[in-house]
Amino acid sequence: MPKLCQRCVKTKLTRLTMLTSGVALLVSVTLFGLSDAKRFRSGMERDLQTLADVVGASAASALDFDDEAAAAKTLAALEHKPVILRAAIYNKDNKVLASYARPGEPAAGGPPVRGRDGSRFVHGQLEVFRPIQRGADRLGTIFFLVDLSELRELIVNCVVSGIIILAGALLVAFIFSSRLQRSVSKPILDLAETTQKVLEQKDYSARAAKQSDDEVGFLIDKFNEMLGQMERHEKDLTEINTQLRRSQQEALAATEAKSHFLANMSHELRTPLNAIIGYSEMLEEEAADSGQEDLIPDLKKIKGAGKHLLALINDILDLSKIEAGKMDLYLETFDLKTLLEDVVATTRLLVQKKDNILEVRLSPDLGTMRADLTKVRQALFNLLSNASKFTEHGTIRLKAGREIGPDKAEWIVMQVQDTGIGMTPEQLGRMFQAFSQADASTVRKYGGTGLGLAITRRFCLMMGGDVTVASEIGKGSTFTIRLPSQVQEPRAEPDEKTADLLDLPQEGNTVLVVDDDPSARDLLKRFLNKQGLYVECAANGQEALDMVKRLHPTVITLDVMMPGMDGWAVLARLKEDPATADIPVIVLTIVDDTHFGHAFGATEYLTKPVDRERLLGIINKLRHPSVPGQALVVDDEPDVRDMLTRTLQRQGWTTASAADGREVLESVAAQKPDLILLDLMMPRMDGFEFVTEMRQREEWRTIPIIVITAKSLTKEDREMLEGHVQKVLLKGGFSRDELLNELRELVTECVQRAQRADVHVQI
Amino acid sequence: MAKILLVEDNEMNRDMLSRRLRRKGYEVVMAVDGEQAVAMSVSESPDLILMDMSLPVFDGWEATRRIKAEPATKSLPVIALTAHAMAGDREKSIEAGCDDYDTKPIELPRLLEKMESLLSRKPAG
Repeated sequence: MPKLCQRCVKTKLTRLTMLTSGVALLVSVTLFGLSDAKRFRSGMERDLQTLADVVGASAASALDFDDEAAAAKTLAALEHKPVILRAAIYNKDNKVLASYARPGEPAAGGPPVRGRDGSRFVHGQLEVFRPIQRGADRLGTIFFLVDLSELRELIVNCVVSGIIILAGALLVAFIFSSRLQRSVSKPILDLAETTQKVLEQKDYSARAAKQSDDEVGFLIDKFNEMLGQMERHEKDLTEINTQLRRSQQEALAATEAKSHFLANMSHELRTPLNAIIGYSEMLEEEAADSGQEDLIPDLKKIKGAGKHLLALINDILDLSKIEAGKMDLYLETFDLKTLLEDVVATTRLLVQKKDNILEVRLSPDLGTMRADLTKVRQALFNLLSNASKFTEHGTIRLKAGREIGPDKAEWIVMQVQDTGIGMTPEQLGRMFQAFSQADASTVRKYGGTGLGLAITRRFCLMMGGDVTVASEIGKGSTFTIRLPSQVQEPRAEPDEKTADLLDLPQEGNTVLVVDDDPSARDLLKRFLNKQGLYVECAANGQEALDMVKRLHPTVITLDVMMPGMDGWAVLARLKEDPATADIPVIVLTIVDDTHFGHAFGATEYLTKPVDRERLLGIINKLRHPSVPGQALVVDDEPDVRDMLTRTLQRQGWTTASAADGREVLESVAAQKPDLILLDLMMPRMDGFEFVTEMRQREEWRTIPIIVITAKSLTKEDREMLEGHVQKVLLKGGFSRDELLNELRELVTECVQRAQRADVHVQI
Repeated sequence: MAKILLVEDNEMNRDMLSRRLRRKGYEVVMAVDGEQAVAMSVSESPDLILMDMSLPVFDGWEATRRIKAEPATKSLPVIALTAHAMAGDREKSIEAGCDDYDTKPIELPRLLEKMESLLSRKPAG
């Protein structure tokens, strides 16, 4: 493009110059030529007239006497004028007295009849008739026929030289214009080149060179000015972008800090509050004991305020956690009726406080649901306590049941209806917003943070459901929670880190190597990789903690001497968090302080340089078994026994089975199984007795037991089993396939846990 | 009267709870960390242990596991006290071998009820 343009401008300028000068030259040459020819012709005419006069004068006497011979002689003198082709003399009567023809010229036709005086061009020749006079007397006429070839020659010469001059002049014009056009085109081309450069290289510091003060110079000046502005804008933009990036990083760091702060806050705020509430309670008791009754109301106020503050803190922390996306769902399958009864029992006092009656109507087909138990409980509790708060001498109804949605999905619907103060439509609109109770005055009158409903709503949304409200002022409100009966795990944001995770072997053994020395990390990683272990590395304490949460590794190897957060701090944090406390940690250090290591909860303690065989031995002890072991299926129904046995065998277990508790005890005594699947309702010795027996034998305590039962368990049943069995699966609550799937998962999980527990803890 | 081993690292909480328990007539001995708790569970032979879960040296879960693993002390009732009140805390405490569980801030009547129920199950002595 730029090349083409260059040619364009140059050619155009040259052509322009050439055309202009060419036209001017042509016009002038033509004009000069024409005037020359005219001048020549009139000169010629004048010469001929003079000659005619001279010849006429000498022929005058011949005319007087009609002397033809004398006339002819006079004409013969024209021989010296080769231009004259023919000549003739006419007498007074217009008769030819004598004629002449140039030698070699054909005399055919003779002289023409005498014409008018004057000269005229005939057939490319010039005829001249001129009177011969003496004084005023006309004696006769003389005639010349003139050859015009000389004139023609002259014209040709004139044209040729004109062309030559024109060509020469054009050549000179071309040479000059080629030189001169540069003064115009070069600045333009330079400008074009600079523009191109700016565009291609985004180099706004480039400037076009100014060569003249004309319009192009002006254009270049303005162009440069524009570039200057762009350069400034570009710089400003870059600066703003840098600032933005910095602010973004700061904001991220601040969010991170906020999350950490919130996590610590929970404990830090509650501890002094414990003291405030506790001491005020204690003083209250002391005042009662020592008869200082007058102090009691004030102490009760301190206690009440403390409890209120605690509730506020709990709510705010919950909400912040939800909003920071730090609130996780712990999904489990639980019996809905048990949960509802539990919540009702907790809120009974609250309900009775304002003389309300609580009516509970539960549909008989409630069964189980899979959701976050704690959050469902809290959501329900919030609604019930909300209803009790705004209702006096009224009725609060709790209803719960199942519902099939339009998409065939099963929903759990729980409804809390009160006969309280109700709400206006405006108040309804703000209902679920954080920090906005229906009216500011309600806070003073009824207490609370106004966060409870916002939290309830967020919890329900997290679980894929929602809560709605209908209300009429003065008549009461109805809150309805709808949750899927099988809540799904929330889909994680597909960011880079989780994308990485997708490639991980899901049930494999992951070792997290924590060391600040890259070469140490690399060596260990390569060694462990060779042993068929998946290895992830962390270079510092914080990274390690983050990765543990993300990966939940099978084993962690932890270097002690690290800058910033050292290994002990990492270990302490891991053991503090219930989610990570059970991950075995192998501490690697150059300082030999085994006691210290174990005291901090390290599973093993190796001194550097690491004995690889020993490390591998320890890891192999801790890693998940690739081959399942022996499972014992206990059920009195042969069909169920068969089904369970087959499921386990498909997973590679060897199985034994028993039909009742006593038989199992014998079987366990004969060969200690790695897992027991247990029915509760059996003849002779039932499941409960069996569990009690099992747990009394030290060496049997570690065997994981999964209870599979059709019995709907009472609270006492559950309490009795709690802590002694891994999990209770209800036969009725699952389809056969679901039960088997759940079982498969549980079996894997149990064995992994038992494996770890085996190494560092005796349950 | 029953002898209670109170394991708590926070001085104020320890002072407060111990005074309240003493006024209710209990004999109270105190430990400040997990290690001391395990040692005193043997040396003081208490009737019941109130165990805070976030403790230095090793935490309440670990201390409970050790106490429950020791034949001499395994029948000692342990009530876990935690400020976390998080999902799974209760399960975790029960798994570690705790006999019961209560959240902080302590509500004395509720705690006393739990203590009495455990003490009556396993009479002192």
